Amino acid sequence: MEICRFSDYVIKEYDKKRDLEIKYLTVSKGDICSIQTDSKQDASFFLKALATFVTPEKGVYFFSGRQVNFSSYKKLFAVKKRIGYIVPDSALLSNKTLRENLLLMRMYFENSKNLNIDRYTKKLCDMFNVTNKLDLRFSEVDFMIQRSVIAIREFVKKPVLMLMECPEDFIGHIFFKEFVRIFEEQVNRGLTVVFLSYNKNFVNKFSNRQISILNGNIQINDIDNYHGN
Amino acid sequence: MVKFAGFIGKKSIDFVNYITDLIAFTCELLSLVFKRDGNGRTIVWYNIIEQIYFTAVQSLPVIISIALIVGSMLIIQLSMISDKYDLSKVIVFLVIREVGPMTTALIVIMRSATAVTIEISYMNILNEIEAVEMAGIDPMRFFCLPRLVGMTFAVLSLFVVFDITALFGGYLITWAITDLPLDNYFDQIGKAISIDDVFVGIIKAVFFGIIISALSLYNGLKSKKRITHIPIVVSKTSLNCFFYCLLINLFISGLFFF
Repeated sequence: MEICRFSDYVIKEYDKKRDLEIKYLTVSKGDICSIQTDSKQDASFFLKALATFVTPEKGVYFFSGRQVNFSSYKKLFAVKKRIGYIVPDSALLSNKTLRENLLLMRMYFENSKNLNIDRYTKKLCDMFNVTNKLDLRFSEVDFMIQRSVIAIREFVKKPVLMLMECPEDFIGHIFFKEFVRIFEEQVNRGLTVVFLSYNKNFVNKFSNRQISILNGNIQINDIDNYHGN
Repeated sequence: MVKFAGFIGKKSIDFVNYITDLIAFTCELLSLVFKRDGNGRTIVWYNIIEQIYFTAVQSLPVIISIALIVGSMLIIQLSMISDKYDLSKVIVFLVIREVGPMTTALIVIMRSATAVTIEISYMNILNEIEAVEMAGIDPMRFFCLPRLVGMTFAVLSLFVVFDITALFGGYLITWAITDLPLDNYFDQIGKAISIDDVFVGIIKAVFFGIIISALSLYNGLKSKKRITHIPIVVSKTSLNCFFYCLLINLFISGLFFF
């Protein structure tokens, strides 16, 4: 099943010097695509494009079989909602508690303020050691706890596509093992992932396809080692 | 000379773009008020109540104190010309039509418009707006709608509080500290107030609420992603709010004059 497809997709002068071009690229369900690039900025920008944060100059982007309509920002929410986004730019709402941040999506779409975190979320909170900090606000906890909560939020969202940029730096070494365990669990359930990582073990263990970005041109290649085999 | 003309031209185009963008943003915001979206109703209502609490309830001590001072000051000063003009009519005209809405707007600009601009600018810089978008939630509905409704309702209710306090509290203070003859003050005020006066005051308060919230939200959302840009945006917002409120005040006063 095809999760996303780009064809003749061009973003003009995204870094004021050059264009970002994708002639044709598809990502299917269960693909774990690692990004190989000469520029981290290109990879970040490609992840932004996948998350529909940039409007292309031309070309089409299909997500879950439907063409993404960039004519109005409101039409992109349905796509964004189904994408997990763990990148350095990811944030929590500072005027809400960690619990409210984790429950935000459910509170909004289930129309209720009185919700409890479910068993899976509780399990992840225990793993990242944040359960006793859930009633604190964003500014009352340290940076790495904020990052753990962002990762939990993106995992419990049950995304169709997960986008990650340097998860090893995002989570930090203390909880990276836990992160890998949860990630593996979700990958085994068929999660599709596009990620950039400089941790070779992580890349070799999970990546089954490779997206290369060279001078703004993006291509996809199959690689032999599937889940490290 | 060419350079100067170019500068003027660029500034004019920038200004027209700013105004048209602002009007489009305000129309988009107002359309959300009338849109019935089942999702997020509880959380949006909760945010509206929170905004009313921050803007209206927390401003009450300030607005009451200022209304008492302004009310008694006007009564004392205007009583000196009470032999020439109808004191009650002049007080009603000034308090309900002009001073009430403008002072309320000024307090909301100083207290809440600056706070909302800072809050939204920070959210913009810290990517919190993107975080809400990634949850599939419209930031206009989640962040902006509650602030528009909350602030507009707050300006309207604070205007009512200001008028009542200035007219009645002002009288009590004047009665307590001076020997001015204010016989039948309440009767005269009651006779002087017309539906038009109240209507003009309400219209002004509603428009002030809309323009203050729209400007604070628009400037906050449009701020550059730099912390150092926030003070510039806040100062621009407060001045713009005050200027546009004065402009609307003039326009509505003119409209009801004819």
